[in-house]
Amino acid sequence: MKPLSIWVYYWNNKRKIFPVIGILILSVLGMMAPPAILNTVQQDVLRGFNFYEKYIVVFINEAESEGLTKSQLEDKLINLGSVEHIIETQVRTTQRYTLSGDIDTPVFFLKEKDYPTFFGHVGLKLNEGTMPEENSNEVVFTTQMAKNKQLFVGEVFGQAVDEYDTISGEFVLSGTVDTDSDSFGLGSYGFVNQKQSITTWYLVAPQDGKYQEILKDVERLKKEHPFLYFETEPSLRNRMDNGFKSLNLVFMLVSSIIVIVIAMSVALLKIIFFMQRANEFGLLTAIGYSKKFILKKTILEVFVIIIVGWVLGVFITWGLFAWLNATLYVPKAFIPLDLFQFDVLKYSLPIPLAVSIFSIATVFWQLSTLDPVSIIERRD
Amino acid sequence: MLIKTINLSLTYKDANSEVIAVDNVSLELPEKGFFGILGPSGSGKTSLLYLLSGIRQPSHGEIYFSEKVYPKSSEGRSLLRRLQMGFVFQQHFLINYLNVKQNIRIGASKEGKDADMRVQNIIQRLGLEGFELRKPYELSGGQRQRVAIGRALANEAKVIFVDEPTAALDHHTGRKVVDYLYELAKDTCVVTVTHDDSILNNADKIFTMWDGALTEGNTL
Repeated sequence: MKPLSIWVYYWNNKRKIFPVIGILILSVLGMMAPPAILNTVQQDVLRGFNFYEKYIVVFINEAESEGLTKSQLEDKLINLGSVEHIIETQVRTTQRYTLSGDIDTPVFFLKEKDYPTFFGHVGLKLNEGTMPEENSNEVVFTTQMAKNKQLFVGEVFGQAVDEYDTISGEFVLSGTVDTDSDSFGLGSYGFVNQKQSITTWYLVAPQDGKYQEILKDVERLKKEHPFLYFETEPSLRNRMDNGFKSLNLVFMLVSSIIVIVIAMSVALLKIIFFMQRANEFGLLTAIGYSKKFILKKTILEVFVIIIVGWVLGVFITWGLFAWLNATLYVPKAFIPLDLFQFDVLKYSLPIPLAVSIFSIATVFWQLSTLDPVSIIERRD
Repeated sequence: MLIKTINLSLTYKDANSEVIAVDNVSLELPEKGFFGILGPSGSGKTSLLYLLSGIRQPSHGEIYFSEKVYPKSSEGRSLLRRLQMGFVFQQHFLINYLNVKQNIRIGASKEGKDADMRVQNIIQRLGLEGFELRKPYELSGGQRQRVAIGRALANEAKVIFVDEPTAALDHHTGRKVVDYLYELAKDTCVVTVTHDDSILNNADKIFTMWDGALTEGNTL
């Protein structure tokens, strides 16, 4: 092996290489973990909205109805040109756990006769157990929801057994329904309607391919009857986006500062290492190696370290994500952390880029001011 | 002639004044022999060495190597040094993370098996067998200086410049190093700068410098 090859340098200077690689690994990890986690949190929250692409939820409070009766409202809804069917329901919420905190997730209480329509429209099938008995406190959850709440068929939930749950009373999980990505529950309309409710809810199904039209129809209806409340996928998503927008901005600012600090730290280390090697570079220049050769050698040394640091950082982050997925995300039915998507990987790219620029500029500057005579004449 | 200089001068600015480090030096060095440049500290002998080796560019005058004028570009002069010249500095300037063999090898201008064999021969000639894999900090002062000489020989240099070869060594080790340089001078041009005239007893020619100018041994 050539004595001036970068491998000989690395092999004999491990103590100098490891801190730089260590900094790079940690910075890649630090830069990739937050966006990946934030991304899955966002997707987890979004998962609760998938249902609203199949049904729009409309509700009205009796006290605010301004004389609009149930049958008049039903007529208005069914006569919207984009509506396929409507289902009267009652909605309560129970909690779903995400890394950003507990999220209220709906439990729709339906009449038994409406189950086939609802199942057919959403595309559900019973996965385990039985559907809720009419007028009973039985509830079925989507499999994701049951997993998330760590509930098995036959177990109970609700405020009666968990004071932090938002759904009052006690409910029994009678079964789970299979759906790819939705989070909600289903119960018996008769059971909750026995208790007084001043709000009337409807699930409004758009006709095939008419989701955009139903949104416009809903807007028109809202102008006519301002006291009507609608929950649509875009309205919920907007609410979430506003919440995450400022978080993303803060994250971008912090990331930028981290990248600059890391790049400057590595550049500073490079200056120290360069000064320690001044004798070596002075000697090489004096015995006839060109500055171009030394520049190429030192830049290659920097590049290889940066690439190795980045690749190791990505692999270690990947390992950490795999461990987190196995121990936390999958058992809790969170959306798993996914490293290999550009939205996450892109956050690690400024590190090698900034470190390269700072380090190469440092080496270039140091080398341009290197005078071999001043080195070989030094008497230290 | 291997090296020939005509009216070589080196001046540089120091604060407000202009210092003449080398003043109008003309000399000739043949292809073999031991040549000394003697003078007190500050006489300009090391500056002359830097001019002869192309590390410094003269302010005035010309230098020729094998009848060809020295390249003007620093890249060109670097290449000349790398291919034709060897250098032994006052301090050994060995690279600490490289072993003896690797330190000698960096002086070689070519790669390959021939270079390996040459390095091995140098190690034998310098009595460094058994020390090939040692790092500079594991060697004595004399051994380090021998490695530095080995590095200067690795490219089969036509001329070897030596700067105060005994300054950092004890008398006994210094003597051995000087003897070895005399041995080299049988086939090579060895130019030694020193303020210690005892090491020049057997020199083929001694150039004496004072205030940047040659006072004795000027061949023109």
